[in-house]
Amino acid sequence: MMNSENKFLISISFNQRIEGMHLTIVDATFETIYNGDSEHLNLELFQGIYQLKANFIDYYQEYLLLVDSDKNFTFDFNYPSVAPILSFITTHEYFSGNSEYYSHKSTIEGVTDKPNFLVFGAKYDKDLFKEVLPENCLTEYYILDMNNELLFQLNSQNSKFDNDFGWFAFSNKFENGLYFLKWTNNASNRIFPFYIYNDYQTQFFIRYSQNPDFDNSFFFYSSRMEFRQDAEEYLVLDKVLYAYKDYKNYELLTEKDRSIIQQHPYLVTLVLILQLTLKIKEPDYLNDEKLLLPDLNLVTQSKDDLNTDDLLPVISSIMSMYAVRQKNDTLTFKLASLIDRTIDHLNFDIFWNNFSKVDDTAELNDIYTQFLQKSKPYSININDNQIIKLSKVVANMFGKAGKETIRERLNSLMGNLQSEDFEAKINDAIDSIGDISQIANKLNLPPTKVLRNYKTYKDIYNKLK
Amino acid sequence: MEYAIVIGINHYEERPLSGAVADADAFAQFLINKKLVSKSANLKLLKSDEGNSMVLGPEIDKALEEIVKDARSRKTESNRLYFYFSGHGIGNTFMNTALCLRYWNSVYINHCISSLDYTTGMVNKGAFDEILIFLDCCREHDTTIKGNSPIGDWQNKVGIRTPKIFVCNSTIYGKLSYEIAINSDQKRGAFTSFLIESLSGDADLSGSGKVTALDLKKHIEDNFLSYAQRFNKIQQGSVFTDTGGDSIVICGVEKLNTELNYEITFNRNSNVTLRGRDTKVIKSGDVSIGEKWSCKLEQGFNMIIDNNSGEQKLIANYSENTMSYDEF
Repeated sequence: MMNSENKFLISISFNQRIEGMHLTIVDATFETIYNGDSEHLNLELFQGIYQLKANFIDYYQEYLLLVDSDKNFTFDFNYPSVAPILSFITTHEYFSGNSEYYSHKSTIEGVTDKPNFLVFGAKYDKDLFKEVLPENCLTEYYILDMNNELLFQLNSQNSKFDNDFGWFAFSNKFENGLYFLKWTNNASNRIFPFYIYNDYQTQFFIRYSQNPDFDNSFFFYSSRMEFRQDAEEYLVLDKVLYAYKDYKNYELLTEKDRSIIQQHPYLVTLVLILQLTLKIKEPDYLNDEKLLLPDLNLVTQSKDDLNTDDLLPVISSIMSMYAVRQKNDTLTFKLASLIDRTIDHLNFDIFWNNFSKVDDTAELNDIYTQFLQKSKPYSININDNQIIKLSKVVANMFGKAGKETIRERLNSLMGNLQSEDFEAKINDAIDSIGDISQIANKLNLPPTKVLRNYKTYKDIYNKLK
Repeated sequence: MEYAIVIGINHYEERPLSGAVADADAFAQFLINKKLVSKSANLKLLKSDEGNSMVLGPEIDKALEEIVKDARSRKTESNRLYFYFSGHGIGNTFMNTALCLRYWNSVYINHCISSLDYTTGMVNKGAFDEILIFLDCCREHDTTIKGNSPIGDWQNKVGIRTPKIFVCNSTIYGKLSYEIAINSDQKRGAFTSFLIESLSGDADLSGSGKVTALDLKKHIEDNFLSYAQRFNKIQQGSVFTDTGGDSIVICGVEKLNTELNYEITFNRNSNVTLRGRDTKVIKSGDVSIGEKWSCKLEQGFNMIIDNNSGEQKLIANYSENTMSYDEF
């Protein structure tokens, strides 16, 4: 088509290919002139100012289009995932190359084996947030083993970083098992449990604006033992997580996405967990290779796998347990998931509505200890939904655990390594709770309800005695 | 006759808010200033304060009953009720939000009222012809929290009036609502700020001199996301209408009695150019921090460019008939 006098040829594209991106173009009079799914647009537009809106699952960004000549607009979609930004040319050119490099090479001198653990952090924009220096961010991270012994504090000796380009990396070879990645900044803590498996590389990616963006940080377990610039599975991971938020988003997975899932046992596992949790009759990928995440074992209630020593209670399941108020109560909300354990155990997304993170871990210690100690074994009914079943399995299993086991697990879960009175707190909590069951029985209330409102019901109980 | 129940709660024991009371004040003030509630006694403003124990719940019921009593006596008048809430909220279902009251915390998790039950209660009073509900609160999923129903009879329909209903949620189901810093020491709900600007005239995109419920709905759906983006927030409003709620004429828009309709405050020392929606230069020159440019902008997208850094910013002027402000 020929250009008219007032029209210009405009091409719009993105530095990364994100399948399923939704674009809207609004002209200067607020009229929508384009609305559809596309990664690339060629249009003829009159001279003027336009707004481009780009949507991809939960992410949204706006751009300004100044149309006063034929132009090619190429934008970055500020997407937190890593692989699809491989060709970010404006601010992220450093990201994928360094991720890739350190997924092959340990940042620790003398370690020649290919690393099976990679932490990679980078600013969303290297030119912004000048006060955020990767070198300083490093020392906020600790790696603990399952006994809560400190293995590494990330620092400028055992990690790599570039303050000018705004990234840092840590990679190393670990034995198989459960570990914790802990982040501490003043009074704030975040703890991420992770696993090291045979022939998988565990990857943790975090982006920074002024603060670390934990809500969009994520783990990936790659059977390819590496990060690759052209990998698309990270984008699919985000789509799977989006389906966790609402299962109807599962439909957004394209055929290509599904074939990518099939090649990645971690993604297969996540989808299977989701579908089993939601009681989908014919789950996908049943016959594909899976990664034996303890959560999946819990959902499937495979007794053989339940007794593994390093199995850790699922905090979100524990939280959901509190929601079981009566035997016949059905829990109608879709528990956003077991995946929380992978993302962040200390995020009360489900129970406390995501208003904020846990402020007081000591309080959680108390609640958790009481719960484990004093909840009666729960009978699992055929009518229970998967979440309730799972909660009961976890509760019953850990309810029987000895004091030492609970202490160890709490210690691990809370990650209060530096807390001087941690032992005392745990002991106090364990020793001081003796009457949840009595109160619950007397008042004919579920123990969980008593736990949640302990002071209130204790007062009533005392008056009745 | 017009009535309003306006609620703002900052003072939660856990996770207090900063802007909810200011939002309620601003919304109440807006209703009075625009004479949308003509009798001040008909506006029940319930807000928390450090020294009081508002809002616990019964005050809302009491306020509603007082309003209903008066409204029922006005048999020949058209009665409109505004219900505004700013505070914490929890999305029980798509249609039902638990509005957290003053004592709501991790112990008193159910110290909330059910937006759906209260809406039903207001409808069933049979005293109103139009009910406009504005909820500026989070709606993250949690069906375990139970919002209380009105303490009076709310389930039995009385009278023959079937009100048009307009429900405006600050965020879509399952998502958060945010507070934004409107200046260095004051926070406000992003949605309420946008709402008041919208009702002041920004939502009258067609320049008809009035804002209908449909206008507001369209403006929220089309432009609130962009507004929130200006503050680095992703928040999308959600509007629901029933029984003809779309046709409600919410308010008139007064004609702006100044020549200029846009003020830009600069936070830089640089050389900048302001371009109109046809890309033609409106103004260009050196600016310094704190300097303001007042100008007349056409309705639509304009833009401002920093000629030294190349930074560009879209200036969305939704109405030529309102005074708007921006920073660059």
